[in-house]
Amino acid sequence: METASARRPAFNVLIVEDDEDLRELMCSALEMHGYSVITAHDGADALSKLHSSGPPSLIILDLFMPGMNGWEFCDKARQRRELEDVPIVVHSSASQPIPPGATKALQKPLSFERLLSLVNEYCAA
Amino acid sequence: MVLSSQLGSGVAGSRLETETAEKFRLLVESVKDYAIFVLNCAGYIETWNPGAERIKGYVAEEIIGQHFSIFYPQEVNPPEKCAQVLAMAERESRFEEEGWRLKKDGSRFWAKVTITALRDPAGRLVGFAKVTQDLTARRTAEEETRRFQLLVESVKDYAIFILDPQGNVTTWNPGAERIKGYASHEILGKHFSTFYPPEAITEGKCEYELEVAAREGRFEEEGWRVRKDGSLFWANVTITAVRDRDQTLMGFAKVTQDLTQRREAEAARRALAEQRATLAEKARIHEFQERFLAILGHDLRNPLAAIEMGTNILSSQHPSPNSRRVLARMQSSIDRMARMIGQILDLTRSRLAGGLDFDMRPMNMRDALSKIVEELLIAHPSRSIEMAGAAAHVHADPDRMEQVFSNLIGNAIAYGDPSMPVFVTVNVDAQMVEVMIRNTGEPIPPDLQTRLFDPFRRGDRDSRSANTAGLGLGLYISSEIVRGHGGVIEVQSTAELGTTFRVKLPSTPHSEDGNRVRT
Repeated sequence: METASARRPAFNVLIVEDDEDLRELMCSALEMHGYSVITAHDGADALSKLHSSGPPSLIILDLFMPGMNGWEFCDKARQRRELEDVPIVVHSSASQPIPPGATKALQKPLSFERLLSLVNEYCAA
Repeated sequence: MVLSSQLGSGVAGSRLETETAEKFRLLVESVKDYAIFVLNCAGYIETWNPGAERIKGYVAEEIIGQHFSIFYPQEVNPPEKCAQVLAMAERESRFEEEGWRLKKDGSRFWAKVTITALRDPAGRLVGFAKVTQDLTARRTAEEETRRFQLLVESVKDYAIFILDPQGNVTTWNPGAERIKGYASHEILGKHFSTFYPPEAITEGKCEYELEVAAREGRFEEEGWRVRKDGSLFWANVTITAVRDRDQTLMGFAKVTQDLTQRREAEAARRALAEQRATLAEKARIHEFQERFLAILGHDLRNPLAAIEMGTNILSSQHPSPNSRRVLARMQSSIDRMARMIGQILDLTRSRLAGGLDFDMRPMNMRDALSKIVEELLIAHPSRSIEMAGAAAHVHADPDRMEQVFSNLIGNAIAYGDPSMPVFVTVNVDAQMVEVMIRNTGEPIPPDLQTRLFDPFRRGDRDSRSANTAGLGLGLYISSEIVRGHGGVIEVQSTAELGTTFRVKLPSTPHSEDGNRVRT
């Protein structure tokens, strides 16, 4: 039986965001502070990258994305054993109901300080 | 045909009498619809004819010499019956009756029988002439008619009745009484135009309908008819010409059905379908608007988020004092833009069908106030905000409440006397939670007070308020949020007392231990 410690995170943060500028800025900002980051432009891309890389300490998830959106990604991710307990923080412009599998929701625009404190909270980096 | 000796050519003798007798023989010979034969005085059959053969089934050879009681069914006691019959015929010269008779194969038929005494010129009885008519077919027809009559009598959903060729009512049925309202004695003999509205009568509709029915056999239509009480009903009417065997018009059969119920049901069904279609259309429009707003919000907020992230990153990289100032300006614009986007989306949503969405839950108003006060104190370190009052439990949307207080307390800071605190007070009674936000300083001009909560209303701009003036939507949206919660915002502003905004919301009763009381 797997325990939480056996499922060691493979990297720090997965950023799932369709807006290229925002995605790359967030990635740069976090890498500058020493975190390992993988980015994906939609839910399907995210699932495929997770499959090859392993679980992160934190997933920052946009909701409105072309292709597979945030709700669908959340649903599918929670079905995967290795992703069951990974914190998913929704970062969205939507005032729509957040997916049931999400841990927390933050409204755009997210300040850099808040982003950093969020990542600090979830990563042992 | 075999003749008995008594009717042979020997009785009269003359040639004329022989010819006449011959003609009679031919007459009787040719008749096929009537059995005509002769009995002797004792009732034995002496002659036969084709009619008798057809009706009774015996050929002459078999029946001549038999007693006519053979034709009578057992239950009438033939010997006695026949004696009575002959006695009466002899006495009265004639006997007539209708009754059952037997055929050769034992089957019965309904017969009309006439027995006439035959006398010679001297008046002596020489025998009887018997004429029998088979009325079975007629009787069957009569029975069928009777059965049909019973059927018509029992029908209550259709008016079925007969008109004479002129259009007067000659029969009536329970259905007609129910549908049209007349009892039979009230309507028999009256013209069927009684059932038509006046316009139809003057147009000559009745004559026209009978004419068509007579010409083509049948007339059918749907139209208005009149009941006894004068009320109108929508009817399906069929008029059928009734003719006898010679095609002589005997009258008309009229069948009327009251379609009122059916029409009402159809109208109701159509109304329901229209209603459904309208609702479906409204739902489609609403869905489209929701998606539009969602996409708009997304498209506007994303670039803003990127810009904010960018300025934050640059700020964290030890910029020069000049760069820091530039970045501060950029951040200030970002904040304003974020606020405006939020307000535009709120405004659009509140104006469209559906209004603002609220995520209502039990909350403590004090928590929302504390959070906003803390944020504002960080943003305006030189100012003071004094808060008083106890816990205030309401059923509300916490984010929206924070939005309202941010707007009102922010305004108090922006427009109030900077040397004095802003006062925030929470009052609770059985019905209501009231939050008062007060600042001292210049009052709001009276003419502005009346327009204060209108959208796109701008206050006077001065150097202090330039940065906080936005689209002029803040108070409008705050009032929409409070109204959406079933509450009110009020304002009082005088030179002596300063400016006070009151937000009043219905409260949720709580027991001492803080649990929500169910009412």
